[in-house]
Amino acid sequence: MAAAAMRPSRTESLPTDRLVRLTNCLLPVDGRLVPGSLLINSTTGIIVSPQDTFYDSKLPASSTVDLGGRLLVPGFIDVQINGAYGFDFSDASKSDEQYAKGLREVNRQFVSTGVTGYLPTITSQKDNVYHHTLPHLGPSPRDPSLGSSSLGAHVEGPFLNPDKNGIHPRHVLQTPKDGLHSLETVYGKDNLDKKIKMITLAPELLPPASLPSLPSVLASKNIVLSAGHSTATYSQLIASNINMITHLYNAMNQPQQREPGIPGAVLADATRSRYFGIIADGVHVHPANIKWAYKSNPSGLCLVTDAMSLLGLPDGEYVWGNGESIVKTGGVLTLKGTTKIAGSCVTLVECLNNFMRYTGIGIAEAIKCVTATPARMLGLEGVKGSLGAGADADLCVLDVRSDGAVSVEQVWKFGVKVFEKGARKGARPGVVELSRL
Amino acid sequence: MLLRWGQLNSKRTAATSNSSRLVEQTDPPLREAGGWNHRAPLRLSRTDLPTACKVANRRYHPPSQVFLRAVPIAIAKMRLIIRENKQQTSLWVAEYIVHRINAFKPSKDRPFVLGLPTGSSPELVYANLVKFYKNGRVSFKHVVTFNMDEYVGIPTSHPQSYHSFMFKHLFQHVDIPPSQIHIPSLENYQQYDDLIAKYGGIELFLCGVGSDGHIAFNEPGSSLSSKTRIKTLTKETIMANARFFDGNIEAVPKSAITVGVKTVIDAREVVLIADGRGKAEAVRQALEGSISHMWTVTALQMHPKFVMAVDEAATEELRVKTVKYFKEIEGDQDKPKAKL
Repeated sequence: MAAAAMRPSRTESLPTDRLVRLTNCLLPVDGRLVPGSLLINSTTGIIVSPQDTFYDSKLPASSTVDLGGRLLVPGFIDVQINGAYGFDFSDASKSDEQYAKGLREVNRQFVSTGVTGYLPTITSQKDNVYHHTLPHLGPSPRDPSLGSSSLGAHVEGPFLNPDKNGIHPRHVLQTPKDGLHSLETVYGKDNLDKKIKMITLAPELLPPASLPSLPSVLASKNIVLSAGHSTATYSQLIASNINMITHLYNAMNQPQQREPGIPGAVLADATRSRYFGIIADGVHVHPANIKWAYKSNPSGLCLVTDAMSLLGLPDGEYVWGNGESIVKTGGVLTLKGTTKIAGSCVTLVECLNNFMRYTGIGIAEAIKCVTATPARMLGLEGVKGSLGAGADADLCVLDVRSDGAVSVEQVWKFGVKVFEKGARKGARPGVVELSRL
Repeated sequence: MLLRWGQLNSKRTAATSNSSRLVEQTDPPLREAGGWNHRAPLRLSRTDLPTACKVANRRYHPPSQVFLRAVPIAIAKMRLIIRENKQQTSLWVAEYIVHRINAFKPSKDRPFVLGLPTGSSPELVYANLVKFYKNGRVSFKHVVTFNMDEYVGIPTSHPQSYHSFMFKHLFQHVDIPPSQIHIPSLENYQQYDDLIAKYGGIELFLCGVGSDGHIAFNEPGSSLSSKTRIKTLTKETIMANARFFDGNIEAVPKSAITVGVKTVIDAREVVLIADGRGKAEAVRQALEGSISHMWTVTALQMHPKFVMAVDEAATEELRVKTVKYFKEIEGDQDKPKAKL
């Protein structure tokens, strides 16, 4: 995995560096908002310690940006998103050039939602789709002009349980008969080593021999194994050594009095660092379940959008691949003429606002679910999702409305401002062909 | 009382300031420094003059070559400022420092050299200095600072380091350029006193005092003529400091670099702040005790310009007579605009 290569070449500041002090803002510190300022190095793209800069480099800040009392938080991280702005990460019908161009365009636009790092997610596909798309989806280079960064791909499938397929087509699902070897065959060995950051699979499908060791083998490649689209029981999950759950409550057995299932396994013991994604679009999971999950294991909750490529497009009617139409109303997609849910296209900041409303917790605590927690789950603690010295200067400036909801006002990527509200280009309405499914 | 050559300042007295008299002519830069000469020669016997001049980094002129002329001088004097509580005491000290910096009219070529401590008493002084800076009453642009001590063996970025303390409470809030700050370290401590001398000596050294009478890390038994050096901390100090390191004695640094007693005394003025009952015995020793290296603070009795600012609680071990005497010479301290 190229995670090491994504780090800046140096952490100390030089006299030629451009330092920016973001002042007059509220920062989340230990679950509380405190007034303060943040010093960032726009040349190396990291947050620097004002004290070290003062004593060691003897540098004053080159420029100061007054944030007008707004919130300054780490950039958001979404570990499950299928596409945005009309671009579907699983769309293998495009040529390599078209795909790369579309991806670049998406990254530039997508950063305006406050998501500065994400895992582009490929749903269950035939092998050739992985071979075609994954080479594009590895970690992005350190360049603020590229917009939002991929932190590596998330492959959700095809090793899923056909009983919990959700909207993944059953005919492409496979069984990982040969453990790691099956994974290498389907995704491609090179992709597995360099491009993939997270794999969602149903642990009960794995051969018993490979199950206990697979998570650690993948961890040595910096890949997180996540259980999802699974019928695993409580004890199966505990025995699997898997510490991440894909969209908790969705596509799995629900807790029963004698069989707590996957939710029971991940929520009952908050002392073991088990993580779970949760879709807080108000449709996929009942608010009470979200609150319950958070109260049980607050340090494991990662908000995800699981959004489809309509994310970021205006409301209206869009043509689905098989001739049907779907209607986008805000963050909700329905099949035309029905009330059937056809996926989500909610933004992460909307999920965050929902989440705060459901749980009643404040932004300083809630923000962790889209920053520090997913970063820790991905093994990027202190690198992403953090305001500590040495972390990447991926930042969001938020405005708090009177009802407590927040909106993204500015986005900074590697110490450079890449989005400011008001300066935004209007997204144009249009019909988008969704080729997959 | 006027002082004559060869006379030791054995009595403290109300100063008849602004008096003019004949004194040794000083080099021009010193006269320009406000025209006030607080230097050591005034209170030392003639035989000590060569040493004193060396200490003050000036050339010694034998008496035959001395050209005598009249300049105003400040009379050696000790002050005790008593305020009701810690807040009032630190406010007075901050006001006084601001007054001294502004009266000095520091410039790029003639900066105000300030010695600084850490600890709970100075913390409030710094808070007030920051407030005065933000109100535009003082600037630190032409202030050069020398801190008195720092631990050895913890990184400067450690939250308990004195680098962190100074940055947190003062430096990050004011306009002092980083290049004008000095904190002793393993790299610079051997040149620390020379560096101070290069800046013409410390104009005002702000000090705290330990309950055992230590100034900086000059604990009981330290030489009163010590200069900047590495000191091994006593068991008592390490135990007392463990509270800052999560109660972990292993994590407490075992040694520190500190300026010497002499480094402090060489400053042209020393302002000492003490508050609380815990400091009362140290305050008593400083004022009424004999000069002894077992209470290093007592060495300041020899200083020509020494100001102690204390709160009521810290005077509790003093004789009523002592308190009355100093209150008398300071005049009415309850006036809203007390004298500085």
